[in-house]
Amino acid sequence: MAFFKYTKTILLVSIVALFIISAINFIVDPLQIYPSVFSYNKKNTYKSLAEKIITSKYGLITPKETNYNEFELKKSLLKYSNHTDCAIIGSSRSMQISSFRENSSLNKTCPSIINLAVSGASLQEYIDLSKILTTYPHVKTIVFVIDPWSLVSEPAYQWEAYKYFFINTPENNTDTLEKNSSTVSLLQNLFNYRYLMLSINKIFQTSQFSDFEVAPFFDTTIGIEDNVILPDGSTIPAISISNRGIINGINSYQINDAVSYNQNALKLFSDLVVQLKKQFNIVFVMTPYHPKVWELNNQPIVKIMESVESEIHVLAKSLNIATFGSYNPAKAGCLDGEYYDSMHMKDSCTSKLK
Amino acid sequence: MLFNSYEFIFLFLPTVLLVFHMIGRQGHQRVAITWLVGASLFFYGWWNPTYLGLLLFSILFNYSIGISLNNTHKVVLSKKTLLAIGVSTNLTTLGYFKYANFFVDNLNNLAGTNLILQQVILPLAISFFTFQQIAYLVDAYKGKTKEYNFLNYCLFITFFPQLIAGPIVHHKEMMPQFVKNTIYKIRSKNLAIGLTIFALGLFKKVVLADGLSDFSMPVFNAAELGITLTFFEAWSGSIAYTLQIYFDFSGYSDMAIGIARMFGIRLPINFNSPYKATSVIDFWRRWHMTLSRFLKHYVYITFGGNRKGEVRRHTNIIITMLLGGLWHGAGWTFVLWGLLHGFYLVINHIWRSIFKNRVESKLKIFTSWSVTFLAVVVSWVLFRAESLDSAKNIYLSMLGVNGISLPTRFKNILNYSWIEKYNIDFNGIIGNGIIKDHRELAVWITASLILILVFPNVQQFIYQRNYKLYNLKFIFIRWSPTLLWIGLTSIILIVSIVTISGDSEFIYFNF
Repeated sequence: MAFFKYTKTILLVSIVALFIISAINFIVDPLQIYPSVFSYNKKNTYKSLAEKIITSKYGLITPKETNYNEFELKKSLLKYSNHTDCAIIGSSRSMQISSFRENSSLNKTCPSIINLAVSGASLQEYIDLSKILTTYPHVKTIVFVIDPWSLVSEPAYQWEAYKYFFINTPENNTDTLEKNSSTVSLLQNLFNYRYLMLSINKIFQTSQFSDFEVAPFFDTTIGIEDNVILPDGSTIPAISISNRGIINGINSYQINDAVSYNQNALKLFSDLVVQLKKQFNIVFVMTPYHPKVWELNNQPIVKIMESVESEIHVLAKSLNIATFGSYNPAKAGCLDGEYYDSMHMKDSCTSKLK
Repeated sequence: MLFNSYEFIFLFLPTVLLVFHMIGRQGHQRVAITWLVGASLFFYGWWNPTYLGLLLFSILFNYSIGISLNNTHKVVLSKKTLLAIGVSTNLTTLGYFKYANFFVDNLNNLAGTNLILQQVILPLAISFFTFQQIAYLVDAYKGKTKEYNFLNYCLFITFFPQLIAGPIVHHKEMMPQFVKNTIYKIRSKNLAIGLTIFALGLFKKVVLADGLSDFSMPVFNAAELGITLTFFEAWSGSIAYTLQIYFDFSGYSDMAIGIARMFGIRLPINFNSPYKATSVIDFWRRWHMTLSRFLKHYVYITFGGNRKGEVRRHTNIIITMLLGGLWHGAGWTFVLWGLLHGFYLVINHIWRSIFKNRVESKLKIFTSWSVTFLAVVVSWVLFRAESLDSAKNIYLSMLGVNGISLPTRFKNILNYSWIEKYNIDFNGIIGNGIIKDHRELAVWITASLILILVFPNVQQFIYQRNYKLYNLKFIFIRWSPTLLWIGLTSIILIVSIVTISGDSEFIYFNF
């Protein structure tokens, strides 16, 4: 009897716990991948912040101590970007790409930009933001700013949900088997630990952002004491960042993971682009690193960048996608003084991306 | 289908188990076995139905040979000829699927030819079911086992818990269990023990092995890219892989044993704390035990074992280990890995014959353990590396040939000029930045080593009354159906299930 009770209790406890986890994931649904019948309807605090940024003349000052979810903010900004036709998806390395400031970037391809770059973005964010963009018909072009680490790993928590999303797009005629398998995958995502962490973060997200102030007129090539988010979503770093220069020491120039790209991630990215091409004009951009980094040609970073760049060109060629820029500063035409640090460009450098 | 997949855990396993017991309880044992065979074939075909035909052909062929070996008076051919046909056909099939590309590539390299062979896809589990059937044929030849029923034979080969990656079982240790009436009725003790072993195995795989893989994979990939690793990176990656492969494969074996136990079947254990071994001989008695058993009985002893003098014995050991290495994969890295272990074993045997009557002190035990562990870590580099160049790259860094980078703060403590000539600098131990977070890695390695070296293994937790480690008696919580174990197992199971992500295959699925 003790054995029966033992097995029964373990199964019962596990089923209840998994039910709670899946209920949280389903209801809170941080990436809105499930039907919205029971969706968690927390007041979107980012909506008002986004509205404030869009309506400001010179952007909004973001205090250093304030923590905010960049992804949520950019998502909300998108809702107000009725006149933009070009969305930038990338990491902090592409946050300076802008059509708002004097030194505008990509002005031939993108006359009007909404910058959706979020710190450390990689394939996961590419997928999440692309998914959202498909519901904004006025956006005609998506610019993927690809970093050397972007395709290192497969998406952590939405790999399966991704399939569901694309298979359910109306223009996509996939067979029943694939549809079924994706529905199963979506169910599996309900138990996903990382998705649970996202859900919990969303539940406890409290900030009201009252300390965000409207920026006065300032020189965008210099900046002010704090970071400023411009109305197009791009960022002007604080003066302290502008002046920090290149940090000495080998470790500043390294990528955390030596894997330049992962074949699965590359394939997934390629599939993503193929799907998006049905609705958007797609552009790939690679932004340069500081020339001093490029001098470290015996370090992994340079080999990694060369191998990623070559792979991106192969992909772009096979999918007939336009590609701009390079990780190599010489090719991109950026000089020593045109960087905030080892890998973040000033807008004089980004403006060279044509 | 993977044991660590939701479809297996939530759908396949409960359905197969429930239906098997429902049918069996009503006395329809043949129907229950048919169900189990059908389910096992479905389990295999989930990966790629194309190769179901190969599996069925292999089963049919070996069954026919087995039957003939047991009825030689009805067959024209002699037993020896039948066995030779059986073994050679198995080896030829395995050779084609596993080694054809390797052979052609090497031939092209050596002879400068340009032979083109279409990439042959390795059918899942072919090494395992081929070896299991060769063992069956040899046993049948020796009159140790016989099977006249085709359905039973199918079950012996396809029983899904052990089909893909073992344990490699003998006919005589598994099939008599299916004759017992008791296994067809649900026994709560079997379910409780099976569930616990399965949960522990799943945890080893999805939490520990996959967690460690985040640290080992970048190092080996970097080596393959030709990036020069630092001393610490090379060692960290190698140790992380040493731990990963143990958790991965022993986790798989635990899951297989646990699932089989839910059906009332006891499979042989495959791992007995191999990293606690104090010699390489001891290591091979504890690591992948059913393969070692196969290699010993069907290769080493067949070659003459230790019956023909010391030189022949050592040669036989090296040949056996070389074939064991080749069994794992068609590549020179595997050949060298096998050879290296062959040499380890020979050295170990010579050492033992010289120092026969040594007294076992704690210091000697510790030294023996350290040397053994070090030797095993070094050998795994060959096993994991994707090419010989990549392995060489890692070895050079492990030897310090590429210099040793120490933490920056040591610069003031140590006299730089004195140390400089030894190719040592102070750029920090993380060097290339290949290891994402070296502190996290240190925690992973330490925790894993404690789990492996101090704690009993899963089988000891479940079955052993007392636990001793190197003559030290440990207080340990033996498994019993108590509230404490309900809590522990539930947590382990839940954490494991929510950690399952993507398609994380078992390392041994490649063999």
